[in-house]
Amino acid sequence: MILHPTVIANLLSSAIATGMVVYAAYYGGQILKFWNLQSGDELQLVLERKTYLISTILSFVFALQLLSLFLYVFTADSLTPLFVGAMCAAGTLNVNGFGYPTLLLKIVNFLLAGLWLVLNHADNLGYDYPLIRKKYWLLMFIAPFIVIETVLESAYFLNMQADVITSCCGSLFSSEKANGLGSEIAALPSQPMMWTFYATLLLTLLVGSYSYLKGKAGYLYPVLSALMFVIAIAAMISFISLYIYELPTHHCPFCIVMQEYGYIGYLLYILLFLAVVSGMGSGVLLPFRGLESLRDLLPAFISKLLFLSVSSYLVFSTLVAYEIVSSNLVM
Amino acid sequence: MIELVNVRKIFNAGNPSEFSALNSVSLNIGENKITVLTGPSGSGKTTLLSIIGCMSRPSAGRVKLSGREITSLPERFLTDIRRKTFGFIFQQPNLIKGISVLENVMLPAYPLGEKRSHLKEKAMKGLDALNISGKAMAKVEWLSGGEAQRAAIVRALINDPSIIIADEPTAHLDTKLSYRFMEIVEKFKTEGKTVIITSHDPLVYQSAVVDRVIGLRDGKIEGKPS
Amino acid sequence: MRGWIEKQRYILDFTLSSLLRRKVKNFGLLVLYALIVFILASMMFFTYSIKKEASLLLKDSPEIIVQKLMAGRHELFPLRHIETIKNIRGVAAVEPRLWGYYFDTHAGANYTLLVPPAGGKIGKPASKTAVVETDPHDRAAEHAGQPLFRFNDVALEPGTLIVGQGMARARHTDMGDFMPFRAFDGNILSFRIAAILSSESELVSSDLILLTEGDFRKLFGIDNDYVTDVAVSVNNPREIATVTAKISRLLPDSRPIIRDEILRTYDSIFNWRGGMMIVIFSAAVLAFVIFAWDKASGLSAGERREIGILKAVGWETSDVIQMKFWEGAAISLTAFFSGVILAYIHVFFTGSLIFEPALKGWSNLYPHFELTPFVSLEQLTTLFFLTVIPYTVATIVPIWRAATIDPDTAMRHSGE
Ligand SMILES: Nc1ncnc2c1ncn2[C@@H]1O[C@H](COP(=O)(O)OP(=O)(O)O)[C@@H](O)[C@H]1O
Ligand SMILES: [Mg+2]
Repeated sequence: MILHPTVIANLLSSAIATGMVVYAAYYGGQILKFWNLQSGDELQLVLERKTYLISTILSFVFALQLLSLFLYVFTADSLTPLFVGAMCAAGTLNVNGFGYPTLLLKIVNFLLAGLWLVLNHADNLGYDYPLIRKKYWLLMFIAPFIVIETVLESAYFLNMQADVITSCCGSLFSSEKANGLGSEIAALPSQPMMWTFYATLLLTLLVGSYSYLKGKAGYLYPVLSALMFVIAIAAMISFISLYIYELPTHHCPFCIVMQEYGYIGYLLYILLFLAVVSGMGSGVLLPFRGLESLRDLLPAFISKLLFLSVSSYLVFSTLVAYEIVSSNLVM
Repeated sequence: MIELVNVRKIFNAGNPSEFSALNSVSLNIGENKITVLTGPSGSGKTTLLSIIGCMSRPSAGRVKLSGREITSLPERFLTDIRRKTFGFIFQQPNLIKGISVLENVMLPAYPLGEKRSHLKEKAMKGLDALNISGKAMAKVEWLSGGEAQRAAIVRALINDPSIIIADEPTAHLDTKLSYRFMEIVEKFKTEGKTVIITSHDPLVYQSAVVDRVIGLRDGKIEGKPS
Repeated sequence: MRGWIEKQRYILDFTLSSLLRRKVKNFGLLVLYALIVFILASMMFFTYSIKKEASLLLKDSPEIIVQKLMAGRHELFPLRHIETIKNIRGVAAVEPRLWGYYFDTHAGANYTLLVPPAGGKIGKPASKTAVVETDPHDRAAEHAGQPLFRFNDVALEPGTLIVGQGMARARHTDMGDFMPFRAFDGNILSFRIAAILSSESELVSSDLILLTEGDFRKLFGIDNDYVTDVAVSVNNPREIATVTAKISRLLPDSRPIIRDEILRTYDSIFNWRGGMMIVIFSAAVLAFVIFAWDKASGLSAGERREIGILKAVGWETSDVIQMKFWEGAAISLTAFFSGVILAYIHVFFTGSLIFEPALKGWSNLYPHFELTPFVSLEQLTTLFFLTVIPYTVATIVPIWRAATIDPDTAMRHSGE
C-alpha cells in the first residue's frame, strides 16, 4: 500500500459513501416493509420523517460521488512518478486489475445516484408518495454497487506497489500496440469515429429538441442520450483529446482534467454527466406519467429534464467544436 | 369549510405513557364564522387546533378542507396548504429574538420566494394597519406585550390566509388589550376570514362577535354523545 | 427558478444573521475547525513543496550515474572506463564527478564537498544544484529554476571555497574567513571562503562546499586516475534503459543509477511521511468530528424554540434542512479558507515556525530555509476531503433531527 494523503482521502470518502448508503438503505428497507400511507400511527409519521433523512443523505452521496470521481483520477495522476513507465493517470490505473473497474463503477454509481434523485424529485411532486416503493427498491439496488466500489477501490490502493512496470498513456492508449480496452478505442480509426460522433450528436440533439419543443417525450431520446454518453467518451479518447493536447498520438481521457489544459476536462465531463443523468432520468419517469397524482406535474418535470440534457449536450458540442477549431493540430 | 370525522390523536402509542388526547371528535366549522373552542386546561384544545391547522396529523379519522381530504398528505403538501391558508397566533407572541420586527413579520413568506420589495411593502402595510410601523426596525426584545402580540398578528396575516387560528390569544393580555384583540378579530370577519380561537377566557367566548362556542372535555366535544 | 433563487437568498440571509446572533457558540467551533484545517494544510503544504523542490532540482541532474562497485560497495571510478561508456551508442556525454563527505567535529555535521564540473552543470548523488550568491542583496536576480553555477566575477581558485548557507551559519563564518580541514594524512589544510551560495534552494545546497579539483584530490588523497563516479547523459530519453543495460554488460563491476529511480524513491519517502502524519493526526480529526456531531445535535433550548417557530409559521422540514446546509457551508468555508490561508503564511512565510523541528528532523544544518510556495488543486481537494467531508457527514443526522421538530411545539410553549 502507498500511504499518500490523497490515497487516504479517497479511501475515507468511499468509506463514508458506503456507510451513508448502507444506513439509508436500512431505513429504506423499513419503509418498504412498514409503509402505510393511510395510517396516522406514530410509526408511519416516523417513516415519513425518515424520507427526509434519506433524501438528504442521497443528495450528499451524489455530490460526494462526483467529487470522488475526480479525486480518484487526480490521485492516479499524482501517483504516476511512483511507477516506472506510467506517465499519467491512465498508466497508474493499470498498475493492478482493480483500477479501471473501480473507475467504471464510480461512473455507474454516480449515474445511479443521479437517477435516484430524479425519481425522488418526481415522487415529491405527488401528494400520495406515488413512487415511494420504486424509489426504495432502486436504493436497495444501488447499495451493493456502492459497497462493491469501496471494496474494489480499497483493493486497488492496498495492492499498489511502487515500481511495478505499468503501461502508460503512451502505450495503453496509443494505437500502435493493441491491448486492453483503451487502446481498442484509440485504435478506432479517427475518421469513422468522428463521423459516428457527429452523426449521433446531431441525431441526439434533433430528437431531443423535437421531444422538448413538441412536448412529446419518448423512449428514443433517453436511449440516445445514454448512447451519446458512451460515444462521447470514446470520441474523447479517439480524437477530441488529440486536439486538446495538440499531439497526434496522445489519446488520454484523463490528462485533460489537469492544470496544463486549463481544467477544461472538468467542464466537458460535468456537462456529459449532467446530460446523461437528465436524459436517462427523463426516460425513467416516462412510465409514471399516467399515475393519478403525477398526471398534471410529471410532463413539466420531464420537459425540464429534456431541456437540461439537450442544452448540456449542446454546450458540450460547442466546447468541443471550439477546441477543435482553435487547436493547432491539423489532422 | 373544515370538516373533521372521528378524529383521534394518541400520543406515545404503544408506550406505558400512551395518552389519548382526542377521542372521536367530529366537527364542522363554517366559512367566515368566528368559532371558539373552550374547555379546561388539558382538554385537548391545542391538539385539536393543531390538527385543524395542518400542523399535525390525526392518529385516526379524516380531516377535510374545502372538500379536499388532507388527512394523509405528505408533510410538504400540508405545509404548503398551511402557509397559504392558515395564519397562526399563539399564546406567546413567539417572535424570534435578535432580528427586527419587520424580518419577523416577513418570516412565513421566505419559503415562497416572493420578490423582496413586494414582500417588504406588504409587511409595512400590515404593520401600519395595526399601528406599529414605527417599530418595524426595532428588535423584538424592545417591544411591549401588546406590541409583540400585534407584531405576531401581522406575521400571521403576511401570506393573506383565509383562516386565522389563535390559541389562547388573550392569556397574557390585560383586559384593555384583550378587548382590543377582539376588535381585530371582528375586523377579520368583516374581511371575510374564518377565525378559530381556543380560550377559556369569558371575555372571548362570551363576546358578541363569536358565532359558535364548542366545549371540549377530556378530548371529547361536550353535549354531544360520541 | 427565480423564485427558487430568491428563496435561497432569504434562507441564506436568515442563516447568516442567526449565525451572527450565536457568535459565542459558533466561534469555538469555528476556531477548532480552522485549527484542524490549519494543521493538516501546513503538513501537506510542507511535505508537498519539499517534494516538489527536490524533484525540480533532480530534473536537472544527470539521467544516469555510474558508480564502480567493489565487493558490493561503492568505490572510486577509474577514468579509463569513461571511454568504454562514451562508445556506447546513444550516449551524449560522460562527465566525471568528484564529490564526497567531510565530517566536521566542531559543528558536529557532515558537509558535502563537490568539485564543480567545467561545463557548469553539476550533479551529485542526491543531485545538488546550487546558485552562487555573491551579493547578498541581489537575491532577486537568482532564480530557483536556474540551477546553474553563476560564478560571476568570483573565481574558484585553488585554496578557496564556496560554501552553503547552512554551513556558513553553523560555523559562524563569512566571506573571506578561513576554514581549516583535516586532510586524509592528518595535515591541516586551510581554505578561504570566496563566496556563499544563495539561499534559494537551500534544501539541497545548505551543506554544500565547492572547491577545485586539485584541492579536492589533496584533501582526500585521490589519485589522478580516479573520480568518484561519472554522470552519463543520453541523447534520447527513451534509450535510458537500453544504455543502462549496455553499461552493466560492458562494465560488470559498475552500478548505473537512473535518475527516475531516485525521483521515485524520494516521492515514496515524502508520500509516506505525509501519509503517516495524517494517520497520526486522524485521531484529532476524529475527535473534532465527534465534537461537531455533539455540537450539531445538542441544540440549545433557544434554537429548538426558533426552529419550532419557523416550522409553525410555515417553514417545511426541507427548508430547515436547507437553512442548516447553508449554515454548515458558511462555517465550513470560513474555517477551510482561514485554515488554508494561515497555513500558507505559516509554511511559506514563517518557515513552518510551529512544527519545523518535528517535520524536518534531518541534519542540524537545515535550520531555516524558505520553500517556494507551491499549492495545487489536488492538495486543496485532498484537504477538503479530509476535513469538510467528515464535518458534513457528522452533521447530517443531527441536522435532520433538528429539522423534524414538530411544528406544534411552538404552540406548546408556555414560559419563555
Ligand atoms: N406531544 C405530546 N406528548 C404527550 N402528551 C401530549 C403531547 N401534547 C399534548 N399532550 C397531552 O395532551 C393533552 C391535551 O393537551 P392540549 O391539547 O395542549 O390541551 P389544552 O390546550 O386544552 O390545554 C394534555 O394532557 C397534554 O399533556
Ligand atoms: Mg393549550
